[in-house]
Amino acid sequence: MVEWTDFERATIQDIFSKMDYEVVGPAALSRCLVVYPWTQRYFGNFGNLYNAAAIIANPMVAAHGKVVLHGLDRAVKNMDDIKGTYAELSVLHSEKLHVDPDNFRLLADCLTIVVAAKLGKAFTGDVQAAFQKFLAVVVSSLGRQYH
Amino acid sequence: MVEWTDKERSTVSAIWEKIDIDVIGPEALARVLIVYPWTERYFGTFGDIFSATAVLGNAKVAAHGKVVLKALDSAVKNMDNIKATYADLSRLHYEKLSVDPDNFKLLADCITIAVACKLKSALNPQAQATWQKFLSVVVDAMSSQYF
Repeated sequence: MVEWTDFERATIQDIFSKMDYEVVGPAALSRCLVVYPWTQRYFGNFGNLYNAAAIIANPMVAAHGKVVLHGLDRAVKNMDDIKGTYAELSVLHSEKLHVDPDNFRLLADCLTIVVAAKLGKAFTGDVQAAFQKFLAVVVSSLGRQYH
Repeated sequence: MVEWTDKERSTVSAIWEKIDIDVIGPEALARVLIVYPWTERYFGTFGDIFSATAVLGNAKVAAHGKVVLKALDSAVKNMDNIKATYADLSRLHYEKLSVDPDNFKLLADCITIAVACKLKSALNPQAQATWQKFLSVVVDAMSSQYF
């Protein structure tokens, strides 16, 4: 089981309680599609993803970004059993959606950059370490049910 | 050879101009030591680097951070020949310093995060894509003399 210090728990709760999901979700997902363009293959029915401007303006990307970020909420509320929390989502991504689990890490990286840009100086080394540890556990849990 | 569009060249230069090497260098190296603590093993002569507070207050870390980031200048000024530019440095890191090349990617990630904290929304998705492309070329060049 993952051990969390009080600082790590408080940091994660703090970051997510102040987060505007409606902005951060779309920002993280669109960054992923722009910076790692091969990820566009998973969104064939999203319409126009031909360039950065189209991706950023795409309402389906924005909507899905919010869905994904709200999904992260479950981990925030269940830090002591993230693996159990995401077992079903992991099965879904493996068996139905056929998402290469490397992509979870890419999205986590983009989310980290969005949060860093938002928090600026407040995103200190300690905070970064806690946030990346949290996302690493999420990424690992989402990849857990693959075979 | 790596192809750079005019837009990518100007983006890299623009970001580089906005970066204060004396601030971002120390910050990026400090982040690496805090977020990926196993990297402490490379800095045995630096004294106390075993807590975030110690790392952030350590003069040798700060000095070395500046050295490392100054070296990035060579890549900015030689974007068409980054591999040759870093051939000697790569050999040094391999033969003398015995640095695991995976760590170059960790430092690149921390530089990107430090830049994101400073530039905030100015590091938009396209700029991030370009900056990460630039750093991945640098990371490849630094790994090129390893085998």
